[in-house]
Amino acid sequence: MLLRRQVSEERDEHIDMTPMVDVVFQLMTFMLFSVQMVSEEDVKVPYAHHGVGVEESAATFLTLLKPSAPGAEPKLLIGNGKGDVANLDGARDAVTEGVREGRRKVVLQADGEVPHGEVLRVAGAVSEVEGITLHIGVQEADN
Amino acid sequence: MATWDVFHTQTLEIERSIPLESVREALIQGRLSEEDLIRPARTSDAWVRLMDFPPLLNVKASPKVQASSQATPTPPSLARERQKEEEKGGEGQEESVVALPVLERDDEPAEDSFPPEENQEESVVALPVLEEKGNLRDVLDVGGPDDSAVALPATGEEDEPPDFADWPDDEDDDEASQVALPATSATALPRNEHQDWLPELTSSGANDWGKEEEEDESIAGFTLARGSAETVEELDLAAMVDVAFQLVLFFLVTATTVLYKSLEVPKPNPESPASAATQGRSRSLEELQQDFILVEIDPAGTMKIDQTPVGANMAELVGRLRDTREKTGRKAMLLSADFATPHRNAVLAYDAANEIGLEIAIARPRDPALGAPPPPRKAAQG
Repeated sequence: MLLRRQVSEERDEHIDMTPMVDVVFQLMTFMLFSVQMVSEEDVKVPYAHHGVGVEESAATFLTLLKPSAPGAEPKLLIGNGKGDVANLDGARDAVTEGVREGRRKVVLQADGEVPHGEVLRVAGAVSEVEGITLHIGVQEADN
Repeated sequence: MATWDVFHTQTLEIERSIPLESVREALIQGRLSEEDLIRPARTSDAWVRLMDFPPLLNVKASPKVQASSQATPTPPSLARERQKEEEKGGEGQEESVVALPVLERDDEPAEDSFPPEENQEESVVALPVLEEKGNLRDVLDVGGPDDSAVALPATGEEDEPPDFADWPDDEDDDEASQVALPATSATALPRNEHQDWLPELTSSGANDWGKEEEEDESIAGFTLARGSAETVEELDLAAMVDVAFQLVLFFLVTATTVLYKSLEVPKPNPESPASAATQGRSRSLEELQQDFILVEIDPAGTMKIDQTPVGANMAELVGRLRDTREKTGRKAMLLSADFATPHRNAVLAYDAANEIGLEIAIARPRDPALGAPPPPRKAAQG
């Protein structure tokens, strides 16, 4: 009886490394594009045991750097640790813009050496914007 | 007349409407090989190899076929059939007549080449059994039609075979070269049911033999007439799925939201203390102390609770605030810190108040740059 000849080919038992290489390269590419170099922040916020977490994308950050010299005014930045130097009006406008974009939280990252009155002055200025909640930036305290 | 299409397997070319005799001559001369394929012209029947083509098999077998009934290599199945009949007493021999195709020729009567019909009934003529379906051309070269007692499909021009390249276009000119099988003759050639152009079989014995061959022929035709098996070209998605899952897991593990720790504090009154005092909203320190636990911080960082000094550390501050709350029942803290006191001292007071669940109110200090006497303090309660 004529049957189609069954061809038995030897199976290639080698491990195909191509998918693994693909994965590695994709992960490397993803990390290269997504990594954010975190530098040492110039602002050293006070320690606190209690506090709530605020997402960076959900709040408007203001930074108060300690005075460069005793008696000098602290530097106000629009942003978290870095940004443009601004005055109270600029901070108020930034908070207003943030509220317009849905960011109703204002985190004031004030250095621990900043005078308490300066912090309240900035806080009072941004409090003129309706609908915000004010937060003082702290860092985790060591027990 | 019947013509045929021939497929050259070497050159992958098809020649159409070729008379059978021309095919035979081309096969003898080597222009066609046994592996070439043939089928009826203008049909879509399956291609059959020339070596398996029944009319050519007839020619191939003819040189070795003896005219008498004794000299016949009998096909196995036929031999078995004959043996069975002999065992039965030979009464069925008259029915097991196997004859080869009878050729009708215009110039020569068929009776000249074939035994008389009455003799055919008594003799058994079978095709030779070829051990191999091998070199058909060699078989054809060995002997001519004259050597065989079995009639071959005559060409009428056997002395001068026509040029294969000059196959006639007119079918009417080739009537004499047709393979003609009279209805009275019997042949051992198999009949392929899928090929209605094959000669009919009239002998029951030949039909029995042909059944087995018929199966092989049909299978052979199936395996040889088609090309290679279709290869299923499917895209292997396994690698892509692996990559997708790994990326998903990577995102799940690494996509942690960065949270910044903060203390929520009440918003200071945007109005300046002077304007607030003008509107009559300011309250004296004694009035506020009735509702709030007063925490004062001087520029050096010294703390007082209800004007009583307390250590500027978390544990002592929390203890004193807790005791004061339990004694007085006040559940809110009023922070009155100097303008110049470091921000971390105010945060320490906030943190202590949160430790025991006190509400927080912040008194706005007077800016020393203004130079005016300190107005009555105004508190913002959270």
